[in-house]
Amino acid sequence: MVDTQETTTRPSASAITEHITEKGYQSPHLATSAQVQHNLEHQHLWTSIMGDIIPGQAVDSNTLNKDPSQPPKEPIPLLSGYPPHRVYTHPDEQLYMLENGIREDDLEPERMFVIPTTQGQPWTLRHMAAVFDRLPEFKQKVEEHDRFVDPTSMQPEAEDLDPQKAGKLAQYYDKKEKSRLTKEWGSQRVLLAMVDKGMGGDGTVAYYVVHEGEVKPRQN
Amino acid sequence: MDFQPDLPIPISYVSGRYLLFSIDAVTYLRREHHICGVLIGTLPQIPQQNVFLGLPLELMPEEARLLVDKGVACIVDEAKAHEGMNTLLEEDRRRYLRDLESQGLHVSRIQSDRKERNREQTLKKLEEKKAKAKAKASAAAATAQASTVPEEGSSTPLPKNAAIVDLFNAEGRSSSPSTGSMSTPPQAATAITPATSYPPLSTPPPSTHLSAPAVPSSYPLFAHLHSKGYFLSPGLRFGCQYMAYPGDPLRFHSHFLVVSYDWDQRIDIMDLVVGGRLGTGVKKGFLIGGAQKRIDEVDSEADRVDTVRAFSLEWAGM
Repeated sequence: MVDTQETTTRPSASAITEHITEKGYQSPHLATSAQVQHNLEHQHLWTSIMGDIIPGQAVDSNTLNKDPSQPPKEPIPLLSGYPPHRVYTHPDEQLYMLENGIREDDLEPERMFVIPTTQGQPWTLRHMAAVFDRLPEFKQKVEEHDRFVDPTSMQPEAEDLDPQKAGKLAQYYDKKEKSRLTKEWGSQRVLLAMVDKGMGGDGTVAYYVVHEGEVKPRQN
Repeated sequence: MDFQPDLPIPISYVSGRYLLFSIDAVTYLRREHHICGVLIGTLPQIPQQNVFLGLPLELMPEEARLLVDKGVACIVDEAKAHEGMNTLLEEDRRRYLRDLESQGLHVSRIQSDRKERNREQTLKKLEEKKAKAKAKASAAAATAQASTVPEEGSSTPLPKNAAIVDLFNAEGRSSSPSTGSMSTPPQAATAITPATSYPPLSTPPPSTHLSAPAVPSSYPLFAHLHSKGYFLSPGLRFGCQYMAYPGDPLRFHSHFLVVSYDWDQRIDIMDLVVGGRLGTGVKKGFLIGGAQKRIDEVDSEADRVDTVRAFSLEWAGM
């Protein structure tokens, strides 16, 4: 009886717990970030995931409440990566693609940004605005990184493409570039990832697309 | 059709509500200023009949404020404005009643004209039908002499049908032979119940206008979306603050469920899931937003509207 009790061992920690303890994250934000990263990588099969942090504002700063464009006091972690399929296509963009016979597979992959959050975490419009204000900067940073890592990845494979399709695609990229300014095909967007870490947290991560400004819904 | 009311349009303030009683003002505001309000008038005897409501139109304080800030409307204390009713001169009173009667006569004349026209049309149709049937019968008789008996049978139902049509028409205007055919004798004037009391009373002077309505903290977001061309309506039915329609709600489905937050107001992450889920479930986006500045940091609400930032959420489907 005593012998059997001695042989029982604690169950080993889950992969995600091991992953988090292994990395030894100090800040709870980063632990959340690690969990979301794990989920993106292993459940949604994202690739080349990168993490970054939007720095917070010093706590004793008096300017915080005065200046609405200042970031919040907490740092906000930011992830980015390549999803296996497009996560979001603006309805007008989709229409354009349909009209021109462009399939999603023809397009080069796009880096998507993710904000990991957890239930109970302080979150305000200021947080949201800070993310979108800093997004172009981070976008540029990761694009440079991507070019450095794999210079050919940004160019579409031109060899096995018939000229007609290549022309259509070139037109599409032109239009896309223009729509970035006119916001015809939506504005900047990020994914908001929400983790439930409280009682009953089952490791589910819920993802929502957040657009800056008023962007019409996909199905209406 | 394109009626232009005298600006500013008086909005009646009755026990905390902002109401419009003039149908011309209601259509004008909807057409030109994208303000829909909510029709709340029902039949006093049958209040449960609330599928199609009528005047008055109730405006949200936000809507009333927006119109006042634009200079399109003004707020009038309805009770105070009607104090003049007691001191109405006998002369004015009689003139007003005469005016109502002439309006009533005008309406009944229009109605009888319409009846007359309908009658003529149906009579003409009948005549045509009869002529056609006769032509058909004679043609049939001329071509096929052998089969006259079945032809006779088939031609009789036509006049019968016509008779039925006539019966229904006659039923619709049982009194028409007396009023319709003899339009010269004076008819009874239709009783008119005016929705507004501005003909007998003069429009209240600007000094009596109430101050702009107090609005909830969500007003900047409301005004921001309105300035972008959205039609906004109260969102209680959909579990949000406002519904935002990209055009007239009679023609479009709404795009957003709108909830306003203050700039540093804490947002529960769960509320974002709830709103996003609800919005996606009804094919809409969930829009949150608010003004960056508080009201004590700026001179007026209008200054806050320019600092509004909004974010729309949709379920990512993953």
